[in-house]
Amino acid sequence: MGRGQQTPNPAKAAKKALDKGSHLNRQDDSRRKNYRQERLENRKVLKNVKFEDKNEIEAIGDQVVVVPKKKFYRQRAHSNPFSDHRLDYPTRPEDMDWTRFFPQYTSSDDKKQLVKPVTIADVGCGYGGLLVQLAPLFPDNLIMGMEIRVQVTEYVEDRIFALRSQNLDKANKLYQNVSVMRGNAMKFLPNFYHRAQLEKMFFCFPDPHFKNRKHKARIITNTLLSEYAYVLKDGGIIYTITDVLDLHEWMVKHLDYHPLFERLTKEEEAQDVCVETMMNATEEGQKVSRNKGSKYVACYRRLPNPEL
Amino acid sequence: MLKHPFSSLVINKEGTLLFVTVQNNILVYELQTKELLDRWTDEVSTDFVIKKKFEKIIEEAKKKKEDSEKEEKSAEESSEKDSNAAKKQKLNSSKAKIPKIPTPGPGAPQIFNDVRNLYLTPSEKYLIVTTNSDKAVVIFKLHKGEKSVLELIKRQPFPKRPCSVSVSRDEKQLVLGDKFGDVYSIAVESPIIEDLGESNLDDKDEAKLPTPILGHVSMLTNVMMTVDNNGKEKLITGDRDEHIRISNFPKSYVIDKFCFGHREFVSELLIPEFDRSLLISGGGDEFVLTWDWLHDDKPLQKIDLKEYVTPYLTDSHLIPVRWVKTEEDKTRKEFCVAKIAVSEKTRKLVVLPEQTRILLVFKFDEDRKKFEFEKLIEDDDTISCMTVDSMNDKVYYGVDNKKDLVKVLDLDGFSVSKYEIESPIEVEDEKALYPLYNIGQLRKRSEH
Ligand SMILES: C[S@@+](CC[C@H](N)C(=O)[O-])C[C@H]1O[C@@H](n2cnc3c(N)ncnc32)[C@H](O)[C@@H]1O
Repeated sequence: MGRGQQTPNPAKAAKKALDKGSHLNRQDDSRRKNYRQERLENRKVLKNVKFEDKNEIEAIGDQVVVVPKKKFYRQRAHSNPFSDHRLDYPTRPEDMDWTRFFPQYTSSDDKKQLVKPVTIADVGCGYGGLLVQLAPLFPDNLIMGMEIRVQVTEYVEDRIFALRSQNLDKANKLYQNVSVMRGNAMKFLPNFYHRAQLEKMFFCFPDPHFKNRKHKARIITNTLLSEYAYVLKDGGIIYTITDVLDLHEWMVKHLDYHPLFERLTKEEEAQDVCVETMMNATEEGQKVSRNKGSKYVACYRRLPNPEL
Repeated sequence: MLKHPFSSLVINKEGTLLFVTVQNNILVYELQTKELLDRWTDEVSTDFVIKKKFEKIIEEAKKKKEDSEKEEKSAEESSEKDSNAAKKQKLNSSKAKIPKIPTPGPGAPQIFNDVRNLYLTPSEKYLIVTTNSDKAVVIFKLHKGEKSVLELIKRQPFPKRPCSVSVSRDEKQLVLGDKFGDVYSIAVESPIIEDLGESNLDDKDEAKLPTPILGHVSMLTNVMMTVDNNGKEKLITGDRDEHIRISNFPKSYVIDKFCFGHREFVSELLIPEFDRSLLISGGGDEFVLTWDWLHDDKPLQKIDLKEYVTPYLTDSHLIPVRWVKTEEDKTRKEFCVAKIAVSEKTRKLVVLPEQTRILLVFKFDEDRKKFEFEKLIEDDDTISCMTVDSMNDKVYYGVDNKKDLVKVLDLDGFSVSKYEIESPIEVEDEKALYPLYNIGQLRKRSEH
């Protein structure tokens, strides 16, 4: 993703080449595959497990409680948001089976429904660092990550399952309120979320798409903001953070221009626990810190629709 | 010589003019006398864009070469001693190749300069089409009752292919949706925006584009301006990802609702005059949906077409070989809706399934607000296009047999007759025909 670094760093490039070499290594490849296959089998069982069904989890063995290893889930850095992926998405929000993602919150009256809707979305959640920090911070909200890359999504799934099972014994049963799905947020958000359903949307270190020609691939554009405004409720907040100044300015420009958004003041930002959290929670954010890069934050509130 | 089948038809409200697109032409006929009144041909060739792009590149390369040759000469003259430098220079300039305009390889898909999206504005003041050659919107002022009907007033190229057009209620703003999902609004009669076409836009040159008034991250297949029951304008947009979106206009950043129900691309959208609260939609699905679009985001009715259409599907409806993955795929046939139209007075809905020889007619039941199947019309030949003459309650449809061009179906009694019409557009052989059935290609297929 090389954010913030338009000119490639030679040491990094060499390492990349090495990585690439190992990708070609068959043995390695099949090891990764086996690892993921095992995880997949576990996921199949775990998906519908609530904490009452602790025995089932124990039957899977110790491995499940171990947080998964990222290196087994490597994938190409980019996925084209314009292409026709084979994606799973409901025809309409009512058709969505959320209980697969939040079994703990299944309604006792209607086994296909949750007791409450998802209200926080992490768009392009990557490896899920923000999700797992938000989960204990917002125990009363359901939090959903969306990620377009398959293996990255699987990693986050396994990570969350591991965390859930590690916390089954504890009184507060953490991480039941957070989940992840694979999806293209630039095309299908309204298929998942009703109008005004969301309270918060996070866009952390989005892909910068440096080339002018590729600006339409950016996840914040004037036209997409109308869609985000549609799924956000009045007063809901869009959080953005990036280490790429050019992208930051782009997002600010488009959000400022959009009549349905108003920027949070510096004071408001300072008081918002989410701002601090997203500074360091995500994998990208941590990478930037290690490289001593700058981070630019911009948060915007959804304004009510104007009169026709 | 073969007569080139027509690719689209439109008849004005009074039932006096028939507009046709065929290849890169628009033909205008007097409906009753069948007299050919006017013709417009898109003279721009399909390689226009690429040629123009490369002309620029070649120009620059030539200039560079000349400059370095000049330098080289002066270097040679001034310092015979420093022969090394001169040699180097010489090497450079002789190396500098002038690029050629690329010619497509034998496997490359052919590009056609056909005229598309024949659109008559509600007041019938303008006729609008889009071109495939330079990706332009072409606007004509209509002069009804005169010998030359079409007056070209504007040809505006765009960087991305315009896929659908509509106009605001006052017909001052043109609204257009492009292949990459952006919707632009430009004044119908203002001078053209120079250098907006693809051939003029390079990587750095986004600034010339007007700001899109709305966008999908998907190809826009249909944009339609309409008015709600409070007299407020709404913009309805359909895309390749099954979405129908309703936005306010001109405050198009406010999304009113999505109409969810399609499982394949949406390509046809229609609001009949006889009931403005009804939206009819179709595309890649084997059904047509109707909506109470002012009040609800769920379909009102699902009109299944499959049972009627299946017996008429041919090998042309088999899924492309490239996407055949299972044994079952080998024989699986798919169809889509090429066109929907209504006859206003008798409240009938006519549906043309793409590349079939049938038309399906449904009748509107006012009390139940539902369409009921009425009749299946079967022709001997594949039907290439269709339109309704509401004034006379007739369907005009194009037949793909390279000799008869149009037939007429009387919706009252369902008799079919030939509509003998002369067309100047003829071709030597089948190979020279432009493709007539493009809508099925919108279907999404993917491996990842
Ligand atoms: C640079 S990463 C940042 C990940 C994470 N937010 C972080 O800060 O560590 C951007 C992520 O967005 C994902 N992404 C890009 N376009 C997307 C889309 N249209 N829908 C969902 N995810 C997308 C990418 O696959 C990538 O994982």
